[in-house]
Amino acid sequence: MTIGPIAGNPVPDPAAEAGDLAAPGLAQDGDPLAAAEDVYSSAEEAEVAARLTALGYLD
Amino acid sequence: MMIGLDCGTPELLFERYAADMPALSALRARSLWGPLASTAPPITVPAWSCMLSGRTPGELGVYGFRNRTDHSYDGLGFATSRAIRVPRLWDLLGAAGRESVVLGVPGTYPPSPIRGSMVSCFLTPSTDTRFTFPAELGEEVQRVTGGYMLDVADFRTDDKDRVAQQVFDMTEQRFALARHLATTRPWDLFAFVDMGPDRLHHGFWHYCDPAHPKYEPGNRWATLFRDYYRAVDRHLAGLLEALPDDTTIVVASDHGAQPMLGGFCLNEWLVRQDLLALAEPPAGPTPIGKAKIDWSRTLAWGDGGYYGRLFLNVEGREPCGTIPAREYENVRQELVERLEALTDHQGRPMGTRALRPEDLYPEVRGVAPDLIVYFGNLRWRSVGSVGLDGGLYTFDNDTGPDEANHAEQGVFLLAGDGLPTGQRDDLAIYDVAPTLQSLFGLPGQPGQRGRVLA
Repeated sequence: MTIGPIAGNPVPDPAAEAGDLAAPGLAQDGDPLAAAEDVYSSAEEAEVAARLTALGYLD
Repeated sequence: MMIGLDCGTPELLFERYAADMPALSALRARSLWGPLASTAPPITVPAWSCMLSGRTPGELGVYGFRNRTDHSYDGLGFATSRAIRVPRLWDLLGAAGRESVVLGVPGTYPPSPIRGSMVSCFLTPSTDTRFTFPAELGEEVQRVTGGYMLDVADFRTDDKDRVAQQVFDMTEQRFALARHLATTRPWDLFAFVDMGPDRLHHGFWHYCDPAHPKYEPGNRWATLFRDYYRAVDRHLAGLLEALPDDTTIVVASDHGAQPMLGGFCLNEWLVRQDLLALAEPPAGPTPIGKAKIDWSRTLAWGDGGYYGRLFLNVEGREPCGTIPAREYENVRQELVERLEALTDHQGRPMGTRALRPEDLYPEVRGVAPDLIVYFGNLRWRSVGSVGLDGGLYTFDNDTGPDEANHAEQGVFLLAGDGLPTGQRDDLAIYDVAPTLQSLFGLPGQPGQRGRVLA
């Protein structure tokens, strides 16, 4: 038995994932799933996390 | 013109407050309309991006606000606009030389270069950052609004007067800005989202819904929803009045809302099931991300929020994996059965659903939860913290006052010259993008979900 499709999938290669799906104007650099560090400073990330926690989205 | 009401709920907009919303009801009378089946899970992020791309959360690789970035135990990242790697409606229109104005649509921070204008969403940390495209639009937005409200601030409070006022103010401001932008620049698509309904529902549901266990007749907020939706309707009427008569109108929401009965402590339950081992007992309520976990003795852990995300600790995948690969499906199936057999605090069946991502989505990208869990079919939230010292069920939300959870049905209305009208009960969020693309004369995209409704 294999791990299955979820566990078996490595974290995808973002460049390969963008591929022909990406449209002009869409950002294509960087790992989309690790983009928080690129987008937010640590203070900004904490601010957004606090807001989402207060709203109940994060716990 | 797409008017997005985050958390717009069919029972409220189509039934309870229909008479209080003459503009919306008149629009509905000339619309194709009905409840709109949301994404699984029915969460703001990714639902709006799914609606406007025709893709599932699995295809986007976005399962909520914060996603695992890898198979480590602490790799988490917010799903920002950069996580959305497929074209949304404004991207397709831009490629076809058409103009869009995008205002507050979740999944648009940081703002992207588009053909037109964009004001980013509530995940913008502050208006001190670049929150518009083009950047100089930010100054105009600040001037027109007198200080743009990205969201309701300091929601975690018992100062209900202030929260209510902020929700009303934010909605008024968002519609006023929409009217300004819609009348001062060219557009083929105008898409905006107001977060006000979502914030109001989470903060005040138990005051306004007689079906909520905590509802008290005659409480001072009992008419707040009615007053709010009357205000929304006035803003809607004002916006529609400013548009050319032949404008095609969409009103849509990403999900609905329902009473929240309480919270189920997912990680506390895993501890009691001998599936999660804490290296030391927490001194008090502790988010799971800050708890000391003995990974060598842990098989599963979870995250909290409006739905539960359960992760398995798999050998060869997680750094200290304990579940042999050959046992993965067996362990997961066992967990499905245990979760779906849960009872509530009074021993009654809870109606929990534990869903496998690969059963929900045609493709699963990124790092999905091993199980997506709807406690009480979303009538209970998932509490990720440990050390709560109050058993498995909690009725006081330690992350802030919140008495509503998301529901799987949002709303949809489509009104335009020559378009079909009447109620439908088979509408899905994935139908929105292909329908709007068709109305714009754009072809469907390879792999896109959904149907063309009109």
